[in-house]
Amino acid sequence: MHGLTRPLLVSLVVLAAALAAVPLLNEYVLYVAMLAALFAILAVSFDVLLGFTGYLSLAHGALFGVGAYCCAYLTARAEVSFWLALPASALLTAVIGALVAVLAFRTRDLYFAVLTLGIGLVGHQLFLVASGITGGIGGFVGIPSMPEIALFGSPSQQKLVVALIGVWITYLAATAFVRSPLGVACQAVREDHVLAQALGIRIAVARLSAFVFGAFFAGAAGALFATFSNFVAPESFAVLAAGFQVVVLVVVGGMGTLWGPILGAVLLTALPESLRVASTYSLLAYGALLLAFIIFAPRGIAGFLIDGARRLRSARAGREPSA
Amino acid sequence: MTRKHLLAAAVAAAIAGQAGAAETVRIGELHPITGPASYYGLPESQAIRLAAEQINAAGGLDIGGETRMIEIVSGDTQASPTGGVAALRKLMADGVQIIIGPLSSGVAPALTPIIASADVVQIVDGSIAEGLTDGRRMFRNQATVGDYNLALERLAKARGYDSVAIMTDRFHAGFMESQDDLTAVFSEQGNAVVAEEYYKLGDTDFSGQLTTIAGADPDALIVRGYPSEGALITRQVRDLGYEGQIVWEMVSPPSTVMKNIDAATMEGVLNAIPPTTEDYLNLGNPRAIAMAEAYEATYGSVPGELAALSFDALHIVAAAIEKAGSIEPADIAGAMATLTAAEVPALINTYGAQEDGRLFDETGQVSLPGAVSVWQGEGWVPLTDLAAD
Repeated sequence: MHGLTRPLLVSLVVLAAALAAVPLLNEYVLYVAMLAALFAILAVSFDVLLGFTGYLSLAHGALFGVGAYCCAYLTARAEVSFWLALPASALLTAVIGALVAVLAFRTRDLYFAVLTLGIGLVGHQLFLVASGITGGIGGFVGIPSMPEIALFGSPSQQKLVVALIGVWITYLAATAFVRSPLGVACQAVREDHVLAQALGIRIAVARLSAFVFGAFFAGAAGALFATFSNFVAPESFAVLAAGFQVVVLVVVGGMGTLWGPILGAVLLTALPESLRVASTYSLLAYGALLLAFIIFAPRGIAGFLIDGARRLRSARAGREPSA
Repeated sequence: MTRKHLLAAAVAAAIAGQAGAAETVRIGELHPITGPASYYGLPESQAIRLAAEQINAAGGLDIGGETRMIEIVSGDTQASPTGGVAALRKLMADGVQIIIGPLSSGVAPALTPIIASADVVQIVDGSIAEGLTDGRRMFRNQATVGDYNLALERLAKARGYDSVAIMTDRFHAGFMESQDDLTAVFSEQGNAVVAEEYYKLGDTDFSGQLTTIAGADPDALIVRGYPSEGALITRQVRDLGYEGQIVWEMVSPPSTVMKNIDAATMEGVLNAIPPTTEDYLNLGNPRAIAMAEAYEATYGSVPGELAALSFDALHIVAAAIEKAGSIEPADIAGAMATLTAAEVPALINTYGAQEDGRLFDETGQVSLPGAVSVWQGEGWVPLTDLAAD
């Protein structure tokens, strides 16, 4: 693991800028920004699996739900402190993620996607029928708010600050993971599964680690979502809701970049809000956007920005007088 | 005109706009204006705007001797909890402190914790989920799901069904939460529940569930959910040879029903819910007729089934503001809690008064008893004798 200083410094600057903007935002923008930050956590964690390991899981939305319901249950029913419930929810989701991964990694490619689709559907149905724990279709009502942090202003500002710090931690953890030997092994699996195996890379451990990593942070995002909303309902965790949405965030943002999915989350949370009149066609718009990016810009927004920066550098280099 | 003149005119217009804005009372309405539930939500939103326009045309609100106009600010919940919370936050960020809505039972519980902790007064005009009101800041002029079920229970008892089957939309929060209570009452009354099947909004093929139900051959099939699926279920179960009584429990505009079924197949289907706009029109309610005529003149379409509730909600808010002589949410809520039906002469719905004459009970809930309608020709007609076939 090397070269973490630059991502650390750059992400710190971005985080500081985002935190500095928090006091300027009204309640509505704070809420939308908080949602974008939670989806960014989800998307970055998913990018480790999709972008760096090459596995398309459609169970990520259900894992997000596991974290949400776990935190809801721990804080509302078991009266556990939120600060304890947050890591506990993430850990429990990671354990469930490991079980799902053991089952799902018996397959590959399309079969893996279909199998995780089934797991996502089962998870959503479980949230509906296990009404004693989840509240069923009526949702889980009365989830306590996060304890106040006096330094960070109003409750809505506090939520956004915590969510932004969550994005920062997730990004750094994901960067560290993909640059570790396990992360490099994941990339080898993505590039050529058979060759990686032939080279003696322990692909089972690598891809299991990527899945568990994603599940841990999906659980953390779910826990934050539950405590920030004070209410969760199964429809938020359906395959066609969070499960599909996270794929779009990563593809549109830019797979395999970690920072691209953050841009995707911000753009695709802010855009539907600013175009609320078009919500009838939101799923259609999501599908169309996904198609357009896959066909015309498979590297997402991040790809555009990287290419743009490269062209800019080339142009500048061309203008400089020769020695 | 020079640039300086233009600038001066713009500044003057801006100042005038600010002055005008200060004279209005901003009332927020939260409904699914877009998305799959918009066929309920849009008419509700438009009925609120219509009521506001009529009040403004009649001189506006008299608030402690000062006249103010009503300004409606719309929020689109998109029938989703996250969309609903975002819309509510947007209204609150725009300074709105009086909220009408929401419609969806899946959205309303997501808004409750926010409203409970904010300086806001709310009147729910759509959701039937239990436990949304507190009588302090949160009120409802729509029936609860318990009120819905009362009509169904009375019908089953009056007709003495030996057996009933129930088909429920699994994603309808209000109906799902009340399913156990409903089946318990049926069992106590001697209406044996021989099958309970489920479906979801958007389904089109119900053959699996309906084959089971047709095999059980119950005296009555009760369908709880939304009209598009209700019509398809009715058609498909008749195709399977079921000849028993079909009873709906859903707000079902005939225009939506007729998209999926012909009138002949619908003939004789019953619907057990509190009276809707169409029922009041069929009963010749003059205020409903006046509202419907104004609605058609304004929007070029017939008012939706829930439009009368939304129309009433705005009038209740207006009456509470005038009674309070204030636009402070606490004052409006206090006035609303003591409001009587006589103090809101524009009401279309026939609400049952509390013992002391108030419109709302201690929990902020109106009494809106359910009734039974029968499909005749191309629409619903109130059924006066429950026992008669």
